[in-house]
Amino acid sequence: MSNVLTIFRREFDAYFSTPLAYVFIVIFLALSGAFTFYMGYFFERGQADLQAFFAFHPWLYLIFVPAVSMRLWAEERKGGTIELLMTLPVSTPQAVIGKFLAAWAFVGIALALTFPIWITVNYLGDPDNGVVVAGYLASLVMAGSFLAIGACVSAVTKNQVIAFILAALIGFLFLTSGLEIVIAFFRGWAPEVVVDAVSGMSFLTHFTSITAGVIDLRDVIFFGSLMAVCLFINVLLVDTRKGA
Amino acid sequence: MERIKSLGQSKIATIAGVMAVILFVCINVLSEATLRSARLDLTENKLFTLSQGTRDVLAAIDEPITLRLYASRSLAEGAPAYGDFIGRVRELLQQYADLSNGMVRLQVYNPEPYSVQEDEAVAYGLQGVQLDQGGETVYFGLAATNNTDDQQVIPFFDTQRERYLEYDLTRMLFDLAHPKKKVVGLMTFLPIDTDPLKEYKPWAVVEQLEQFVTVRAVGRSVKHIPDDIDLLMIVHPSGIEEPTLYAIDQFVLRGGRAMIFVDPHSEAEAEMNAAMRRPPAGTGSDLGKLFAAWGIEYSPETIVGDREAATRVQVPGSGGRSVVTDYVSWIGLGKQHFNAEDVTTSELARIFMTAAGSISKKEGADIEFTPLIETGEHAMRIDVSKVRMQPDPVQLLKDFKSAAHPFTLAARIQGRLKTAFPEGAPEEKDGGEAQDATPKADHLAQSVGQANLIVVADTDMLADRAWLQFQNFFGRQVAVPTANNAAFVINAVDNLLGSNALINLRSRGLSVRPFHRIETLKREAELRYSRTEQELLEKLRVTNEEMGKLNVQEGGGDAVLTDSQRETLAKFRADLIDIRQQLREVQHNLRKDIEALDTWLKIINIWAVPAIVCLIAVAMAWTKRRRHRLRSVDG
Repeated sequence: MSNVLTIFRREFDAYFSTPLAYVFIVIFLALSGAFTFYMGYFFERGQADLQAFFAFHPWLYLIFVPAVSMRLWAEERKGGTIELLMTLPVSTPQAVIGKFLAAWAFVGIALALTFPIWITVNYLGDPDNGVVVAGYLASLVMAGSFLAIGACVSAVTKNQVIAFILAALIGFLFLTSGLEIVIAFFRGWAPEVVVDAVSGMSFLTHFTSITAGVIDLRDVIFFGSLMAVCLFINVLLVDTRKGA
Repeated sequence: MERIKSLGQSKIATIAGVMAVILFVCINVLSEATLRSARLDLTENKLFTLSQGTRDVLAAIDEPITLRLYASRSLAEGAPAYGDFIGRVRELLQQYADLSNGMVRLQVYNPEPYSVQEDEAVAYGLQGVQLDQGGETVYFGLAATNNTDDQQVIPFFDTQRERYLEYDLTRMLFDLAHPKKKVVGLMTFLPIDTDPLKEYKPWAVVEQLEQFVTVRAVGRSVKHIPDDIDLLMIVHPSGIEEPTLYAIDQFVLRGGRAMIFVDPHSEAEAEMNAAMRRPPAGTGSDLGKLFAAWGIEYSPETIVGDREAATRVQVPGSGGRSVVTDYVSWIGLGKQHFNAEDVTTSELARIFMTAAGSISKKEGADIEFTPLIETGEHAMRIDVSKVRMQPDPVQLLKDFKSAAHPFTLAARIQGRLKTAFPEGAPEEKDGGEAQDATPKADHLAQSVGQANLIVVADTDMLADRAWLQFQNFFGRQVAVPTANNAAFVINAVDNLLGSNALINLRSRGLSVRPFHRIETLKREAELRYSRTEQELLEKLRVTNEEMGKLNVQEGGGDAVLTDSQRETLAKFRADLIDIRQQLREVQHNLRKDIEALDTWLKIINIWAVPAIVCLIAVAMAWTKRRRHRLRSVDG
């Protein structure tokens, strides 16, 4: 456990030692605010809820989270520091989890810094704060899911750009799997069970259902199992690919 | 190195990876199918949890009910929004079945074209909808049946009605569990129901009521309300004798539902009086003693006027010309005046009342008083004498002084009411017959459970002309509704006839949460500028009129304007521009504060924290460089 913490702290500090992290946070915050007000018409809607704010998170994460995750393993592999990491008395799962948690915490901080919008909506009206809490939880967990996928992908290649694109692509597939365009593609040839399974894998569906204010066990299981499986595959990939 | 990379190792890893993915898919498919009710509802009003009212109704069902849901797959596929809705409805119905101790069974069918299921669906009365031109007919409805062949149907689930879904379903199940047609006892002091001599038609609202309940007349001097009456509707009570008051009191206290219409001034009665040359006084009604004991405050001496809801009327003015003005006693109420959360009023669009009184909760009364219909903020109490005989709408408008708070015109009263006759049944006058009198032993001092009443302070809203307009349609007289008065009465009766659990079921779903701060700003701005705006608009209108007159005087093409006329015209045009400019300024001012707030919020939310983060970044970079420089100096 303390190994995980060590890795966590090392990674986490590394984030903030470069200007990149600050740039990331600034852009993320500015964009999420801008989307909320200018594309979500938050003010004009006149509704004291944060639906206009949370609606854009899936799409923001689609671009930003791969940008965070791309360097998780690809950089180490490219720089050859992965061997260095493995000489430390740290097991692969511990390293994987440590890095993942550090990245998740970083995104979590970026998310937390959006607090002005929460204060704003409480200042303007009387929102259902339970629903807002659910929204933040959903957003955090979805970010974690994107991260898990991205970390996995980053362990596959040495090239960060490829890691970014691949992670974004897979994320996009998961995001849109509930949408009609994707379902229609499957419905043509796949059996009923498969179509249902595909539409049940959608980030958007589960995210939307939590942001409505209800945390359904199925949504928890979905995101939880996704992260678990991705981290597991991540461990396998790091194990088999190091030293190459 | 401990870990040796070998071909075998890599193969094992691949297999493990693939299995993990398969496991992931299986877990999710499984959980999707089975874990239906494990959820944490974080909403303030527990919007996603079935309410206690529904649970109570379900627990009380003692005979099997079958729910048949017909949902076409092609509908879910063709219209994804409906797909989600179908899923939600299905889940809700499953929850009902789960909570009913096996009494409610759910069967789901996919009625494909030309299938047996489609025939069944149509036979039940479900509505088929064509997806698009020449597309297949899809169904999304519910047929519920009980053991005795009663059935209730939702022909097609309307997404607009989603927030009443729980109410509609619970209502359906309740009706199936209690299929007997309810009896409404009508005690009326106005000729609203059928006259035994068939001299006049019953009022349309009663005819509509008769379509779903049995309406039975209750005499005005009964000593006991019959036991098989489920709801007592009292219209315009006046001069009721003590024994009858006692009967009503005890009826309500023992759990009977009541809908009471009182009125400080009934225009219908006034007309009858005028027709029969009776004096114009005495057009009011009251249940004084009962209201007082039950905690309801109402005065038959005052009506309520609402300036904004006033109806535009034309009255004879001075000098033989007619004047158009707003009559504050005739009020057309809209959505903003209705209780958006009560199922009896939330779907109403318009109600028309004339010379209505107001009711309120008596100070300290231990009852639940829920306003259903209120006036707007700019309302006032007016002495009833001012509208009783030859009212002067122009004067009333001139004398109007807003009380700056709304008055309640109709309200729901619940709670444990206390009797108006603490000493027991009143003594019979003239030692009259005691056949219908209840024995003293049954006297109730307080209501047995929760009493449920709806009190409305206007009887004219029941009249045909308040909500119907008769039009000639190809030689036939057709009644076209212009207001939802009857709908409100039907809703109220329907609602009161349900169980307490049903009555307490609030319509859930999108509860409206506006930006209160902005609404306050808007209201304040309006108060400040609306008067100026009105004056300017008036000036604009007058100037336009004058200009119009001048143009008319110009006549046909050839007429030449005199210099003075041209000057006046030019002045008018200049005035118009000036007034319009001022109006624009006023309207701009109205929104100025709100727009400023908008800008500030945008700045704070988009730039504030990023700016702070930048500062922190710069600060950290600067201290690091300093530290680095110092270190290099030292080292």
